Amino acid sequence: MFEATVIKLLEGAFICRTAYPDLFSFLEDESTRRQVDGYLTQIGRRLAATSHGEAYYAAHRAVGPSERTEIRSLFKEVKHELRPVLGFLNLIMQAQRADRTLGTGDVIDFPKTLLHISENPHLGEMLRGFAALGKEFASSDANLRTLLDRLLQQMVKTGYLIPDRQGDRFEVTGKIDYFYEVVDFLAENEQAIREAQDQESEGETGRLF
Amino acid sequence: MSRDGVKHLIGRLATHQHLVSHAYYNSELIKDEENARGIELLQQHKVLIPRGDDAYTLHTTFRRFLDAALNIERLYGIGSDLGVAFERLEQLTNALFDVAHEGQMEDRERIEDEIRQSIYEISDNLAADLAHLRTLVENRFGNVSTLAEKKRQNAYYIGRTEKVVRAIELFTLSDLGERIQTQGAFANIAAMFRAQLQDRLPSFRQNLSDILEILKQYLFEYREIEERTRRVRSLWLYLERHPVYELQEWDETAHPQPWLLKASGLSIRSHPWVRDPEYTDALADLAGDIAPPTLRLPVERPRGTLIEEDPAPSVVLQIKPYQRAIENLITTCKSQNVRASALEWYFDHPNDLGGMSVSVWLQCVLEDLGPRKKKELGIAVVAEESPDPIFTGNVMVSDVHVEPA
Repeated sequence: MFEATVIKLLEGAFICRTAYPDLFSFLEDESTRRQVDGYLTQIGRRLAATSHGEAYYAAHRAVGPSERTEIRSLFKEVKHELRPVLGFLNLIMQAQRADRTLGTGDVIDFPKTLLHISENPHLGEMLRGFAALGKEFASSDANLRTLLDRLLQQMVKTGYLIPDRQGDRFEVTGKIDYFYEVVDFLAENEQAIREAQDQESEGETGRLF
Repeated sequence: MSRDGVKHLIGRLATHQHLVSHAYYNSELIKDEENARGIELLQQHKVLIPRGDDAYTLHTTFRRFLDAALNIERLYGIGSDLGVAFERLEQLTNALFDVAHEGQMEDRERIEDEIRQSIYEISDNLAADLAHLRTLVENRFGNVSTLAEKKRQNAYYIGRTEKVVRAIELFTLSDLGERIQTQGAFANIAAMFRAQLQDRLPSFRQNLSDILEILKQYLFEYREIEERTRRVRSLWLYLERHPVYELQEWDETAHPQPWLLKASGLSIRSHPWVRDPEYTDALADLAGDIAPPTLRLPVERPRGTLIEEDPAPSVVLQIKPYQRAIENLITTCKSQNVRASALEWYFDHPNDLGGMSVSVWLQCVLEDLGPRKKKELGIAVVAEESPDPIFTGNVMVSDVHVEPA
């Protein structure tokens, strides 16, 4: 189990309850975590966890020139994924008529989601809007089923979802916790976004009175 | 078809009505060889609850139902609130103390019975509350789907559990337990009070306090989820409104955020060290499982020989009469250096054209003497034509003149 865990971490995987339940349970033990961390330390890495402990991953211990290149590349990836993942979370929230965003282990039922999107033109429009975010979301076939399938497959590819064998149910992985960490950081530190949110909150408070 | 549970239960109650009645009027039932089977069956339906030493009593809820159905009034009334139940127990003990000192034996027995029922009720309610709370905590209020409803339920159960814990604490701090254990008036109920309530209260309190902590943790988590949802929504809206918005260069800061330190994946591949004798056998086994490669032997083909083929049959194309007539027309025109009319030629040489009509002849002359042929032969071809009166764009050809160019 130790070997499998360390290899997965070195491969850059997020070890969570959904994607690797056995490895995640293995890492739930504190002494195991120390052992794994000790091993990673020898190769300049450490065992890191997402803010709510939903997933573990390997992180660099120090920032040198080679790490700086990786950091740039990772930030580029984060920027690339930001809009599509935010759009995806909002689309699913609205389609499921949920008052909370997706969390690790939540399940997306493809037929039900498609039905809700088909019944609501606004959601259909939202789904079609993904094509503007990149060719990976676009399709020559403007059919909602194809577009939703493309979106979910892209979320699988980027590691936020895991499909079941039939491919009509998708489970959210612990990587979503990492994404929320990024969102929290941006909401607190990107000045323009923070100001917009503050104004929004003030507006909401005003309406209450 | 599923079995009708209600009919089944009522059937059981009817079969063992004497046991139910005995337990109701005598407060408890003692298990013996004769009634053991009936008690076990009623216990399966939670009609009877074991109270130790082969003693059984009716379940509090069932007893309450019988009280209501038979219009039996309980002393001091029973409230669903645990604090009220403790208060009632204290009032009953005070009443017992009084009647014991006044020597009213009949009242004393009745009050003792009421106290026993009251203790069972408190104990049962606490156990039921605990079980209910455990279920809610385990499935994280899975009976409701929205976050808002989960929050409401969580807040309600926090309030309720806090009240129960406070009631237990107040009861433990009161001197009631000590009075029951030490004063002679309570001799008949002291052991039962200790076994059913006093000894169990610390455990109830501890379990409820643990659950309370979990509920508070859930409340914190629900608030976090709410805040996260708000952030996801507003960040998405912001980026929708500002499609060209660029994030700051957080990757260039001197101390990047922890989430930016995630190591990218390494491609890991391992290869066996084939020269290590320790692995020879294992590698030999592996090699044995590998299917032999498919051999492809080169196929040599014998040198071929040329075969003489029969020459292709030659066909001499026969010149058509109208083509010969056109040739003659051109020869005449060129040799005599005159302008020749195809129409006149037609009427002068009727036998050369094999019965062809005038219009077909003129068309053949025009088509046969196309631009390329005219150039080759050095002649000019002029069609005498007039526009068609009906079909605009068409012309009627009345003659074709051929002359040297």
